[in-house]
This record gives sequence, C-alpha cells and structure tokens, in this order.
Amino acid sequence: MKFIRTWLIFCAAVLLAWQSVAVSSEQIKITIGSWVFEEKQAENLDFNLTLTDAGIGIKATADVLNFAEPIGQLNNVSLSCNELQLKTQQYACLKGSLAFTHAKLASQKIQFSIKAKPETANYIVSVKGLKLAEIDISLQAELENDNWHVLLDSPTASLKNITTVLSAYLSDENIETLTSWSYEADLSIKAELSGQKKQLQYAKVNLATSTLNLSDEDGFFVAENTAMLLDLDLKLINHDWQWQTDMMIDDGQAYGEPVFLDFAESALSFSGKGVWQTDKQKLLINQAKITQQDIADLTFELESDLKIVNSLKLTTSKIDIQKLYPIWLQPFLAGTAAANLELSGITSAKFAMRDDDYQLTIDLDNIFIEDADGKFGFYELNGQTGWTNTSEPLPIELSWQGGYVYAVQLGATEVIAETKLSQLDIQETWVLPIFDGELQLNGFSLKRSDEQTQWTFNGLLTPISMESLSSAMEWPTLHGKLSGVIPEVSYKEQNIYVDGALMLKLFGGTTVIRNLQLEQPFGALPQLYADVDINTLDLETLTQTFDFGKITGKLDGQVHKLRLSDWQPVQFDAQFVTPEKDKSRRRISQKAVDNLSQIGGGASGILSRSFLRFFEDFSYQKLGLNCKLLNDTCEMSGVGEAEQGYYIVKGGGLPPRINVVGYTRRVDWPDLIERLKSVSQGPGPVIQ
Amino acid sequence: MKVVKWFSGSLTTMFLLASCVTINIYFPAAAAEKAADRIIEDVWGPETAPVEKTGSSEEQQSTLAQPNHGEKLAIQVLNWLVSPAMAADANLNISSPAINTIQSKMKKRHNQLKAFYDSGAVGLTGNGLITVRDAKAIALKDRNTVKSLVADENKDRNALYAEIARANGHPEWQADIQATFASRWVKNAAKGWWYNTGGTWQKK
Repeated sequence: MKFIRTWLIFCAAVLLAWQSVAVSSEQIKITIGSWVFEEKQAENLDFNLTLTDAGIGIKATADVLNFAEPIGQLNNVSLSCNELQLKTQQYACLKGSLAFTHAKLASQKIQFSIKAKPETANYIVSVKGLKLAEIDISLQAELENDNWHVLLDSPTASLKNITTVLSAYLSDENIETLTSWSYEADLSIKAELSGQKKQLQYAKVNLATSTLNLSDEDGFFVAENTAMLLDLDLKLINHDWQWQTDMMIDDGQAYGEPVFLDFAESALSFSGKGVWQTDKQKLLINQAKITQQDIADLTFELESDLKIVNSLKLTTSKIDIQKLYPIWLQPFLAGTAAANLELSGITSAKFAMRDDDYQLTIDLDNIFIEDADGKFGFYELNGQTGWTNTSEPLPIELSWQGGYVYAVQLGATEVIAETKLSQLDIQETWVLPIFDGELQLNGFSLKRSDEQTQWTFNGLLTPISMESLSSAMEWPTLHGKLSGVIPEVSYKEQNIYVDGALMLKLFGGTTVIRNLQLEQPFGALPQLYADVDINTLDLETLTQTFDFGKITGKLDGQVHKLRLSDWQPVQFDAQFVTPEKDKSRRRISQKAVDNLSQIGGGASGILSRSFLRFFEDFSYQKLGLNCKLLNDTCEMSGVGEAEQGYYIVKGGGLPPRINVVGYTRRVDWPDLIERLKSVSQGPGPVIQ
Repeated sequence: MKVVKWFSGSLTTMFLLASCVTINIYFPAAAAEKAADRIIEDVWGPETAPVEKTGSSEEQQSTLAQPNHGEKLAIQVLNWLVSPAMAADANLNISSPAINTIQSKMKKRHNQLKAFYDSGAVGLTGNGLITVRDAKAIALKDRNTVKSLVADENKDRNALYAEIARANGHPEWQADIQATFASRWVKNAAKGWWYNTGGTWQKK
C-alpha cells in the first residue's frame, strides 16, 4: 500500500512542482541549480518547454528531487509530456513518461496520463509500466483534495518479488520469519483502494494463484501447487477496520502438522466477516464458515488479540464420521488405542470457549466403532457426550446396543452422567451387561489432569456363567459362576488396578482372584497380573470336565505372581496340593495316573504293561504338583522329594496304592502345554 | 599391627561381599548385545550392515572383576555360594510368545519403513527408538502413514524392551536393555541410514 501512496504523492508532488514553474512560451529553457519549495527540494533542475501541434511539450530533468517521507529522494529524474494541455484552472497530459531512480523503488520508467484541476485539487492519473521488484503494475488514480481512489492491476506478480518489495517496510522480526519460509507463487492481483491523505480507508483486493508452494523450515506447514482465490474487503469505520473475505482453495495439497488436505479431492472454502479493532489490537470474527467439500461445515465466531484466542464459539454440521476420522482425528491419535478404527455414523460438535473456560458437546448418531485389530468394538452408539472445565454441568447421555472388549461381550447399556470441572461422574448406577451377567458400576468418575486420563468406580459383578465365558475364551466348556464385589477399580497411567476380589465358583470349590492389574490393556503387549487362590476343588468334577481320567478327592491351589503377556501365561508360581483336612475318599484311576506321569515327563502306558493294569483305581494319600514358570521354563516339584525325583502322587490308605514320581524338574513350558493338550484329548491307556 | 591387618582384611571381604552382590545382579551386557543382534538381524534382515564383533562390555566386566591376589579367595567362595543363580543370569532369553509376536510385527513393518531409513526421512534415535528426522523427504500424502508407522514401531520397541526384561525376571533391566538395543540398532544400521548421537544427526 505504501508504494501506491508513495507513487501518488510523488506524482502529485512532481506535478505541483511542474505547475509552479510552467510558463507559456514557444521554447523556454530554465535551469535552476538548487530550489526549495514547500516540502520539496530540487537540484540541477532543467525545464524545456516547446509548443507542439497538440499543445505544449515539456521535458524536465533534475539530478535530485527530495520529497518528504515516505517518498524520500529521487535521482536522475526525467519527465516528458508531448501533449500537455493547459486550460483555465486545469491541465492535462494525455501521454507522458517519467523516469527516475530511487533507493527502494530502483530504476523506474513509466508511462502515464494525467488530468488535473489544481483549483479543486482534482487529479486523475493513469500509470503503466511501473515495476516494483520485477512486478508489472498498472494503476489508475483519482485524487480530489485529500481524498484519493486507486485501481491497481498486476496480472503476473511473483510472490517472491512481492515479499522483496514488502521487506523494505517490515520489521526485522517479520523479515526473519519470512526468510525461514520458502515460498513461490504467481499471483494475479487486482485492488481498489481509497483513502484520505495518508490514511487508507477502503480496500478491495482480489488475489488468485494456481501455483502456491510454501513450506516452513522443518516442513511442518507445507502447501504444494495450491490453487487459491481470495477476495478481501476492508473498510475503515471509526478507526476500526471492518473486513469481509471469501477464500476458495480447490487444487493442490497442504500439510499442517499433522493434518493432510488434498484440495483436489475436497475443496476448502472460507468466508467470514469481522472487525479489526485498531486501538485494542483485537480481531473479531463475527461470522465465519469453513467448508470442506463433501465432508464438513464449520461455523464460528472468534475474538483474539492475535497472541491468544479470547473467545471462540464453534459449531459443526452433521458429519459422516467415516470421512472425518482419517483427516481430522486419526493423525492426532497415532500410537494410541484409537489409532486405527473403522467407523460409521454421524456426529456433530459444539465448542464454546472464553478465556480459559470451555465447553464441548458432541452428538453421536448411530455410530459404529471397531478397532482394526479387533481389540474392541461398539455398535449403535447414540447420545450426547462432552467435556467442560467450568462449574456449569453438561449432561451426558450415551447408549450402545452392543460391543466387545477382546473376547468379553458387552450388552446394550445406557450411561447417564454429567461433566463439570474437568471431570465426568455418572449420575445413576451404570449397568453394563457382560455375557449373561452384569457389571454394576457405582460412582464411576473420570478426570483428566496433566494430559493423563484417570477413572475409578466401585462395582458388583453379578454371576456370569462359566459356560459363556469359556466358550468366548475358546477354552474347554467349564461349568460354574464368576462373580465379585469390587471395592475399587481404578485406571491411571494406562494401567487398570482392581482392588478387592473376583470370585469363581468352579468345580465345587472357590477360586478367588486378587491383586488384579492390567498394564496397557490396548498396548502392544497387554500385561495382566494377578494372584489366584483355589480352595477345595472337587477333583472328580474337574477330571471329568477335561476327560483326564477320574480322580476323587479335593484340591487346594494357588497361582501367585501370575503374569499374562499378550494374554498368554509367561510367569507364575503355582502350587496344587491335596488339602490337609480333606476327609473325602481319595482314589485315582489308571488313566489319570498315566496322564499325570506323562505330565511329569514319564512314558505313557506303563501301567497297562504291568500287573497293576488289573486294578481300576488306586488310593492315594496326597497328590500335588508345583510349577514355577519363568523364561518359558517350568520348575516342577510335587508333594515331597522322592529318590531322584518328586512325588506327584503319594500312595496311601487301602491298597492298591500307587506312587507317581516325576523326574524332570525343568520342563519346557510349550512342551508342557502340548502334553496337557494331548492328555486331555488322548484316548488314555488301554487295559488288557 | 595384626589387628589392623585383620580389620583391613575383614573390611575388604565385607566390601567384596557387598560388591559381589552387585556383580551378581550385574546386567549381562554381552549377552544382551548378542540377543539384540539376533533380534535386529531378524527384524531388519541380512541386507543391513554386517554385525561387528562385540567385546567392549566383556572387557568392561573382566576389568571390573580383576581382584588382587588376597581378594581372589573371597570371590571364589562367594562365587561358589551364588553360582547357580549366576549361571541362570548369564544368558538373556529372547524367545517367548510375546517377544516373537512383537518381533514378527516389527519385521513386517520394516518392509514399509526401510525406504524411509534409506531416504533419511526416518532416523534412529539415541534411545533405541525411531523418529521422523526429515519430514520434507516424505511426500505430503505419505506423511501421516510414516508418522503412524513410527509411532507403532516405537510402541512395539518399548514393549519389546520391557518384555525382555520381564521375561528374564528382571523388570529393572528395561533401561539397560533399551540402551543396549540403542547402540546395536546403530551398529547394525545399513550404510546411509541416519542416527542420532548426543543430539546430533549422523549418517552411517
């Protein structure tokens, strides 16, 4: 803007100077060594006036012309006009040329025409060939008294050259920012400007490019071959700038860490209006709309002092979440549990912020979410959710028809909650159906602080049948119930801690799971830790379930320091033994003896080859097996030390008795699993 | 004089007792390097740089364990006392279903990442992870794919280091294992790949 103003003031100044010395004569030559007039100063002025057919011809040269800032000093000034028309109170030059050199504007050679009415201070100027840093500019200007109006046209301006010109008028800080960016574009600029004295009062700028390329130093913000149209209207009213703009980007690509936009696939448009409050240095966007074609509309209002956003109100249209996720959500979720989702459904959001307070509400309409690796999924998710850090509560109502987390099937549920002060609390007991039971969550509370999400609840797990659980886990069918009273479940730093105990009623006994902890449940390798205590299992029921061969009696056991990595057991300290106070009948069948000796590393079918094959079962005093698993190796032991081995079954009671002794103390864990599998699937020893 | 000698001898033994306990749980650096090399070779394939013979840490260990004549007996006694545990720790197990799962995921991902190591877009960090080193070397449309590959790789690498430590019964070794891997990834890196050392990027 300064150039145009500079140029206009310059033209006016030259013409004023010219007007001051114009004298009617057939040929007049005036030479002045040094001349000071008004705010102007000239050195070595030469005027040549000649009378021509079309009027008066004028040629003027000066070594130096000094004007008040912002024009400053012009050197080697040469002005000519072959068609100078002088009439009463007006003159005109319909075809003139002007040449000069200037520190900032460099060497200029321009054609111009001018119509002037000095009495009313009315001048109409047209200029062609003005070059500013290789940018060709044509302009038409009308000046009347202190008012001026300019039309400017530059069909092929290079962005690089524009910034070169502008850099003369920018602060060092701005120049430093500019030099850290690389940019290139051919622009077509049309502008209409008007003002009074030095003050611009109105501007209308149309800018178009089809080749905008820019990048910051690190490549975090990049535009490639972007085609853009920009219209900007500015109006000065009471020292404030009222503005209105329309922008359309419909080709090329852009990347603003971490969002990638392909404008050829989906054009982006922005329209908005607002005010720039000069005295408060505040930007108000009263009404703005961003449209990403076929994806989303976003309307917003904003108030900012350019350093921070003071207030923002934002509303989205109804958006297809399948289109929204890959562009606007997924890039922010890399490395998290939500990094790779398959989605469908409709969502919309509202966001309001003033200073540090904000409220976000999100509407969900028939949303389907599924992790690409099948770790979790939710179907027909509906309702409204949100988040706020203010004390004014926002209601949350969410429901889904079904879902799963790993193999755990979740039924239809509804959550009624509210959010305030960066926290979410349920208002009613949340009943979450799991298989054929329910998890009743009370006091569920979720909060976020220091970028960390934490939640806690206490709950009750009503009985889940082991049939449904074992079938989901692809275990052999188990009979029994799983239930529990949970004083507290908490989630912190990606770990879930379960305080209290889960109780399993299995095989006529009770199994209690304590110290349950889940590390990074959706991480690369989820870790599960627990201590399991097993009390008075009925061996008959157990052995029948697994077709192990019949054993009667009871069994106590514990699996402590259990660790599952990626849901596979990798570490534990397990002990199983006949309870001291067991009064039940203790018998073990041939098939079970054979299977136990196989597990202990012995050969199968020994019994069937000896005279013992004539006995169907044997009495035992005690049986037990311990396995300390670490590093894929199971350190085995039994109920007592035997010669070179350990007792797995120690005979006792009424004959026939039998001892089963294990000799292998270190067993490869995968081998042991294979043996257990073959035992439970095998036909068992053949009795002849 | 005798008292002084006895006292100093006892002190030495006590010191050794303490230091021997330290040696006993000493991180098996050489074994860790070998284990790391095996995993790296599997993940990156044989086309990366040939493995240099390791030895620095073994030398370091033997230097540390160089006692004077009088201390040898005490060490032998203590070694005898603790030998079974020591024998188990000398090797680092790197085969478990969890480790194998992670390793095969990393191997599969490497097919996608290799071109970006080659172009310098992705580099090896000093702490055994990877990062986008030069975003400008990646086409705009591929940037987020690469970012997510890098995030997934780092997630797996962190899980791998933690799992090796846990699987060997020493979760506290995770940092040492990560540091060992950090240097072995760099040693095994192919010519032309970038790695960060002390905050500066260098090309192999």
